[in-house]
Amino acid sequence: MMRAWRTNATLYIAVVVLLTLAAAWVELRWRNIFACQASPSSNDYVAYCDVKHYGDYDHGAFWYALEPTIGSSVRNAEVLFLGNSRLQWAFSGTHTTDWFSSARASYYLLGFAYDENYRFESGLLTKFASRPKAYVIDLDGFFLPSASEPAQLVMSGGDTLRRYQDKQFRQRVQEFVCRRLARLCGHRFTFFRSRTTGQWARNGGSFDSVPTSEVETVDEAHVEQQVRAGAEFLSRLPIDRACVIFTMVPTVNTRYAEAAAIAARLHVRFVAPRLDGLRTFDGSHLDTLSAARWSRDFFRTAGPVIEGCLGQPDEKAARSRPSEALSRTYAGAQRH
Amino acid sequence: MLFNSYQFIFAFMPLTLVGFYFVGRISRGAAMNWLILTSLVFYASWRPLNVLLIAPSIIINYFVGRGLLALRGTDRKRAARALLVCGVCFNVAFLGYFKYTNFLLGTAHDLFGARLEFLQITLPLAISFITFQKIAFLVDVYGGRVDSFTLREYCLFVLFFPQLIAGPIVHFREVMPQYRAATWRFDATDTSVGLTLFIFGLFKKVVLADGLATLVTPLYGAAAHGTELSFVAGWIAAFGFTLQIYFDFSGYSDMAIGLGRFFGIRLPVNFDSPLKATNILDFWLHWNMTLTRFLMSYVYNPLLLALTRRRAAQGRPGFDRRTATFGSYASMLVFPTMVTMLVSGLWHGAGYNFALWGLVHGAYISIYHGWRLIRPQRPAAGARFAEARRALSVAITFVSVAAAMVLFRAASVGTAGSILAAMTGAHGFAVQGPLIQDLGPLVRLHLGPMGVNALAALWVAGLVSVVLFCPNTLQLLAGYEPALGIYKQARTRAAGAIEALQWRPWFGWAVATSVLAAISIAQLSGGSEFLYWQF
Repeated sequence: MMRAWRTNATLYIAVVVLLTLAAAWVELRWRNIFACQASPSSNDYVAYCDVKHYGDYDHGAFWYALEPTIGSSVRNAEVLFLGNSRLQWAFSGTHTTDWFSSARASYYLLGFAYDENYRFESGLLTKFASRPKAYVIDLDGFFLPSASEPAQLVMSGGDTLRRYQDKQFRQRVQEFVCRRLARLCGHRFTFFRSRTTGQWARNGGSFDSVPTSEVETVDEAHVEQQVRAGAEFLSRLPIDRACVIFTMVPTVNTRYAEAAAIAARLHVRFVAPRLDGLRTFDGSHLDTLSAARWSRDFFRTAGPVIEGCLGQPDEKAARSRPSEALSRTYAGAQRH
Repeated sequence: MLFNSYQFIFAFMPLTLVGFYFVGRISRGAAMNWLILTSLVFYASWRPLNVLLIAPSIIINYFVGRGLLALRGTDRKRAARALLVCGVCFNVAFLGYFKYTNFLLGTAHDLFGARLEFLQITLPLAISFITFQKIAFLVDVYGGRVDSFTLREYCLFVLFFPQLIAGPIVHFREVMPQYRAATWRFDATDTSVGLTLFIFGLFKKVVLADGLATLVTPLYGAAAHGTELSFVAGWIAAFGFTLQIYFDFSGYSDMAIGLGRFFGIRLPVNFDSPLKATNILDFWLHWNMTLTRFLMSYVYNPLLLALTRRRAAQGRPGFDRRTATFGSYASMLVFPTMVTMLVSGLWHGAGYNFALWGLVHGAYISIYHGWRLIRPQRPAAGARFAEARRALSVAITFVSVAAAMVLFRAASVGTAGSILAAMTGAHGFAVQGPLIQDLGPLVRLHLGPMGVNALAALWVAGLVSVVLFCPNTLQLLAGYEPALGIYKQARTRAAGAIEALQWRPWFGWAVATSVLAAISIAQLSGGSEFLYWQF
């Protein structure tokens, strides 16, 4: 009797554990991070996995310093890039790496998805006590008043740390499994972030490529609102405005004119190359070829300024009046 | 690391169990050491600094306990009493500093306008539970209810991870004999019962409680931002949160009891269908039962004893139902009840709304006591009338508890007042247009003529039916005595339907439990916090 009882209990445990593990695998594989591949590079982590039960990890990773070296990478960066995902994709590539290695300088791309803006990123600058010598800021809605939803969530505290720690744990397991047995993992859209440079790389997903375009209209109220926020933000930066460069990464309906107006009112240099034939890979972000072309052009113009701020040749350019540079780059912009 | 996290379920728990069964084969001491070590890892996983804060407190309490044990049986009763008072004061001060300093500073500011700076104090996790457990231990040692203990036993008693964060609050004397008698080996029955309870609790937490949170949170959020809720929305907020906190906390308790059972330890029952209570006393005897037990034993009874002695010293009679006067009722019943419930409220949280919540419950209990004194003696009623009276009693108790829960959940007393006003219809009956936009998707769906989501209303009504008419999880497993206080006889008290549903480790229940586990795991990433984990 007792023997049969034990057998039943053991069988019960086996059935429940096996079915639970099977359910967990189905959940993790199709609705969680195992639906995405791991980055082949151990220097990268999954910043975003496009499934219902994972999504953003990047915001929590930074806000709670969950990834070990990102804090020091941001703190030690000589040039910080701030903005949203469009900035990230525009500067993520060998062109940026090559330029900075030739300049022998360190940099970090501190842009975030979800149309992130200054509210979240200025919090990070304070958290990491960063002291860069130059900033590149994508004006694409950067000074709009409200932070993204993930940013609001992490900044509000509460239960969010636990949720991001749980994501971190799942990611560590996923890295271990998917790097060894990639076939077990899916190919949902993922992007990875380099811990040392902040560059993004993507995997999976299928999108429709769309050419970039421009909008010439300027919403005065919009500009005024952003100028106020921008002035406050700039006043808190530990460097001279001469070493702050505003830009506008091309996208569909790029608001160049509005960005230029903001830069002009804030007396900050505006470097925004306007090239023909650029395309986005998804209707928002520059594809790899376009990003390479555009950023090469960006560094051609802004490079001397950045080098000047870094204390390298062409300091003259850095010290030149922003308004002069502005007139060279935007007002006199020519299509290449 | 919460119980409802991937880390816990798929890493910490399996590793802990495998290690436990392995070292359990080596020796009893090794198994206990393993449990202490894993409990420390569990506690440190929230914030490593927590261990540094709590460790000195454990050591000090251990030595106070040893001192009390040494003084027992000697004629140095005053020294023993002084040591006990010191020990209790130390624990109260420890809790008070971390949990109430800023509340007191805020109160001083509100009352006297004192400009005092708030301190940067990080609350050690589960400090309220741990402190109460340590106080109970010292009192038990002093009272002769603990005969012996070692440092290892004491550490395991305080740190045992299943009940470390949110209870149940256990007594040394009810768990230590089990630790001493445990085989520390794998036992299929214990494990199957533990696994089932854990999954039931997980389902209650991540599916029911968190599901309700998506309905309730926007309502309280909107009220906090000044929106005046309608009558219906107010009641959904009150009932919804009552159900949420019940499923949340009782789910957590089920998981804790289930985890304890993995190691062959039966923890005390903490929730026993409190929302089926027919009066407010009945409610408190079935809600957070181990806290109620603590408050009765260490706050209410000593206070009542002191008051009785004082009256006796003054030559006045103690409280007696037949000779009760309003004065004796007020001083011997209302006063200790209000003090005890105020302590209960402040234990739950350092805030005015928690204090008020406790006082409201104190008032409920006092009114109930008063009613029992003055109510007419009824002749024996017929069965049908008795059933109707019982239903009415349950309804009144449920509504009273739900109304008070608004104070517990609302961000401020003002917000609670606004929701309570809404429940009287002061702000109209239909849900306002702008509020609908703020509500979660569950609420926005299928808005009816009064702006009330039929699905949400059905969901709440369905869950009310579940808590009122269905057996609770511990009753389902009563045949296997899942917790201290739940015995096989509990089955016989239950209705016939419960008897038919009794859990046993066979294939049908395995599939049903697995389905609950699968649904819970699918919801694991959605999560919201345990409402009790910060206490």
